[in-house]
Amino acid sequence: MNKKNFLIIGVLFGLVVAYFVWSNFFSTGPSTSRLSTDFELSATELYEAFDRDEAKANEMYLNKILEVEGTVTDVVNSDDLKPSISLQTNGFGVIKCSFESAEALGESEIQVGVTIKLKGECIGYLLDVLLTNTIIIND
Amino acid sequence: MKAIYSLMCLLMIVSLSAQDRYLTRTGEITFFSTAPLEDIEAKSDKALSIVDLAKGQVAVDMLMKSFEFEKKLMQEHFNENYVESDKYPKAKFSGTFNPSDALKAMEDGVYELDVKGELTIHGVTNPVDTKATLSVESGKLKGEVKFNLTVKSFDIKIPSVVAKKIAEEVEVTGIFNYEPYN
Repeated sequence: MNKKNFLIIGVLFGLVVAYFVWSNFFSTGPSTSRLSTDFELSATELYEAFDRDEAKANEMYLNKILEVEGTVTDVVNSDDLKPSISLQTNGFGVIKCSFESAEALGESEIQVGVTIKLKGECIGYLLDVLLTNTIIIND
Repeated sequence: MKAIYSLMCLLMIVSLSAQDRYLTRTGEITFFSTAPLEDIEAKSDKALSIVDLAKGQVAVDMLMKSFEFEKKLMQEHFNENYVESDKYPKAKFSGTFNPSDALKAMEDGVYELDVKGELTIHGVTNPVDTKATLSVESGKLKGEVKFNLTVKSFDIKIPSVVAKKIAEEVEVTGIFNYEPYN
């Protein structure tokens, strides 16, 4: 009996160690679908926030998980660049949401002009506001 | 005759105000460091760059968080411990070069340039003096640059535990496929 307990503890310990090693050294990060949303807003609102006061918008949205709704202006699904969808704003730039892989963008044909809701991590503002590890909430 | 003269003037004006500024939102920046224990490579394809051929100016802006590493842990360490991307989200470069008339006119060819400017990473600005090429092919403009930088000069501290793993000098490569911008 003691031997059996020892074996169980050993196996559990092994699993914990394996998970630790995997999550720290091999995992490519948590799937966005499992992360809780910090803010839900429209593409226009998000862009305006950065356009008006970048420092303030960074404080609010940087590294946060956002659900952004907007009109698709561009879909990139080429071999050279990471797949991405751009959402329309009232400013000069767009909300550019990049996907981890072509599979993440899915087989579904996203047409320019449709309204879509996307979820991703906000990494900041250049000319566009950038979201990474994006997933499609609905299409 | 007057009409032809007017047309010629118009053509001259059009050619004078020809496309000078080019932009890309998908500039590729890669950095590579080789060290005894491990090679480290990270890539971003989200750099913003504008080049003005008439003025001989170039600017690059990028978000440090857009660098992607093969391993999640490396990416976390890079952002949280080394470049502190929450505090210093952007890296910026602005520089000047001497454009030849052929380059200004966007004649096909590969143009070797000396680019001098300032690079800001981690809130620290350092001068950069490097070779770069701009190539023109059938109206398309592509920029390429490769230079080395030392981590220390940007006040990026690497803990001594991992110092052996990370090279002090990092090779930076940039590829920019520009599009006309006005």
